[in-house]
Amino acid sequence: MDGNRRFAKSINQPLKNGHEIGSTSLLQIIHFAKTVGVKHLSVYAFSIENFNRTEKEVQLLMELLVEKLTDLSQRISEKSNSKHEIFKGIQIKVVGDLSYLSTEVTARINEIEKRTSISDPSNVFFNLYICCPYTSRNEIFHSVKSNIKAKKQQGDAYEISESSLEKKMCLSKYIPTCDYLIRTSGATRFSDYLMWQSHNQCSFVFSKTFWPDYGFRSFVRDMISYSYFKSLYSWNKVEVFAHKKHNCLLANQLANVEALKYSLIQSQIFEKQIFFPMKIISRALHSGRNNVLYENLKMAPKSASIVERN
Amino acid sequence: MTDLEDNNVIAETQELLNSEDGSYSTSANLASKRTDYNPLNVKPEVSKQVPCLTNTKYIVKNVMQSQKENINPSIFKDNGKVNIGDGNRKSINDFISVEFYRLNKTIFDFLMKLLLALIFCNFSVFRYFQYNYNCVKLKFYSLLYNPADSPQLIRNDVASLLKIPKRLAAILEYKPEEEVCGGVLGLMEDASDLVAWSLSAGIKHLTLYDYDGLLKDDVNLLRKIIYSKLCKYFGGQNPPKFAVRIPHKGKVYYNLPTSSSIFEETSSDKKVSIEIVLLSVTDGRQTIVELTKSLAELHKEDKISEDDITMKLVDTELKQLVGEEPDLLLYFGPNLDLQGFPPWHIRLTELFWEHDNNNVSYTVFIRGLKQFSTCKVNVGK
Repeated sequence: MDGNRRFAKSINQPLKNGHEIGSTSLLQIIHFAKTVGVKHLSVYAFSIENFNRTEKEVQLLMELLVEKLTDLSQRISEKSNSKHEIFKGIQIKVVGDLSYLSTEVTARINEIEKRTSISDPSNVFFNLYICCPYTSRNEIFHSVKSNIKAKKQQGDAYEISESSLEKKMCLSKYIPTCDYLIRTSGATRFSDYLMWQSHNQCSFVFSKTFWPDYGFRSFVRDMISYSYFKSLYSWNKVEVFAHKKHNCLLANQLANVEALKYSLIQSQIFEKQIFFPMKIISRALHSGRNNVLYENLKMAPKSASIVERN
Repeated sequence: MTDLEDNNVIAETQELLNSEDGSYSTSANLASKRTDYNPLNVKPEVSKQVPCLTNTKYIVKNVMQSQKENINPSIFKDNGKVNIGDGNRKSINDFISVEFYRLNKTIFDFLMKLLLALIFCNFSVFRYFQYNYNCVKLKFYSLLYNPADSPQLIRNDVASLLKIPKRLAAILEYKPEEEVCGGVLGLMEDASDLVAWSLSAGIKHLTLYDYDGLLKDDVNLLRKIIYSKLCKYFGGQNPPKFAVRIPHKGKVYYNLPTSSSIFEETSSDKKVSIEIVLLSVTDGRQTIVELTKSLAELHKEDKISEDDITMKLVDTELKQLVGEEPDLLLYFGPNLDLQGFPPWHIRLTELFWEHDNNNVSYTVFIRGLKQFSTCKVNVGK
């Protein structure tokens, strides 16, 4: 859920309204996802890094989140709503490092979880995981630590492996893998979310719409494209992620590859002369001069690293 | 005992049949009672044993009950127990309604599947145009950035950008031998291209990832190919120096492989312009697991206390084991797939790939750099 504040800015509203509209958008998406038949939906509501924001905003966000979740959980647990299919069999779980939260908020979250918990697993139709406050590194680290502790306590009987790490993770113990990851507002990075789960065989959508704008249309479009590709691959029986290993290395093949590449490049010259004569000429003037020292090149722009900035 | 039970069964079924509402789908309180002998759950073999279909309910009930208790069906023993009369009509009604419900369901399912097929058909038409649009777009850009085989040109392209990534990572994919630029040699060609481009662009750290670790397997060949590529770009007399590092083995190789007789490496050789890190799937989750194991060993021997294990420790250890977090990750395939890239190291990494692109081309490289130069990272704020 990204882009609430930018959305509020774009419609000239205070930040609070942006977050509020974002929360209604979340309810919408929950409804759509459940109707479509999604079993597990996890939402990145609040990152641990978000505590860097102003205290006022953090408080506002927390209150809003807890308030909306309480409202939703009450609706789910109400007997009069049992006829509504929408509210049937929803289970809410708040995952993340709860030690960052105040005791009051934690108590309310526990209450929400308790209210919506369903004892019989066959009656659960939809699992909603609210990640708050969550970062993937924190999750991995805590699982590493608890594994180390368990190893010491249980001795040789305990074996550390990928699955044992997963069992101790706050989100991975429910959903070990992720099939489809949607990130809104145009940023193409993970921002510390689901890194462990989605690092293999996961499809991504980086949508440019802000989260409050991410409604029915975008959701259906993404779902159709996902299901289309999934069924296409299963029909064609293409092993999408097949990695085969070939061990035929011959150094003298190198020359052939070079020759092949050159012939390919030269065949393209005809094409490019038709479209961009000027560009081609200016570039072609440079392209022959390959006797240059690395130190003599122009100054490169400043290289920036996110990691070292902090 | 059996007689008593049988009588009970008959009485129950009769009670059910005589009640007002006999249909399956509507009545709520009956449905709960009937769950254990709902005809929908009955296997077809059972109904084959039945002499007449009109008595479905009695017979099914009796057969099921007797199967449970391992006795012969009472109905065949004593025909007098079958009540043909009032219940019969209702059972016919029930039979029809169940069949009707089944038929309805089949038709509904079929229609829904047809609808889905229609949607997919439309989508495939849309996809056809989208694919062609993407291909034309890529062609257009590749013409715009062609030729790009000299360092000055690349440096000119990059010079207008606001910033470039300090650490660049790329996921390379093995292609079958039959394809153009396929096989291990093709993979190494792609890798060497990337090295030359990033060197020309002024990037000092390059991470190359391939799932199987094919690049790692024959480092000497890779070094030769990179060297020849750099000679092509920078002239054969004095090409830039490079180092190839394999974190998994903990080894660093400088420049060309030396013959065994001249083993010493001079200090001038170690002053490199670019550092290339080779990763594979073993550097991902497996490394985290191994780190956990070794930390657990240490903790068991009381060499480190519980408080010493912090996020920072894990982070520095993983940095040593795998490397720094890259700033930009390029993927040269049609649809982003991380293929097991180290999960710890993609926290704030900017991801870039071109839709429907399927080869390692300079276009993707320069467009990735351009996107990186415009992106803004908040880190939570």
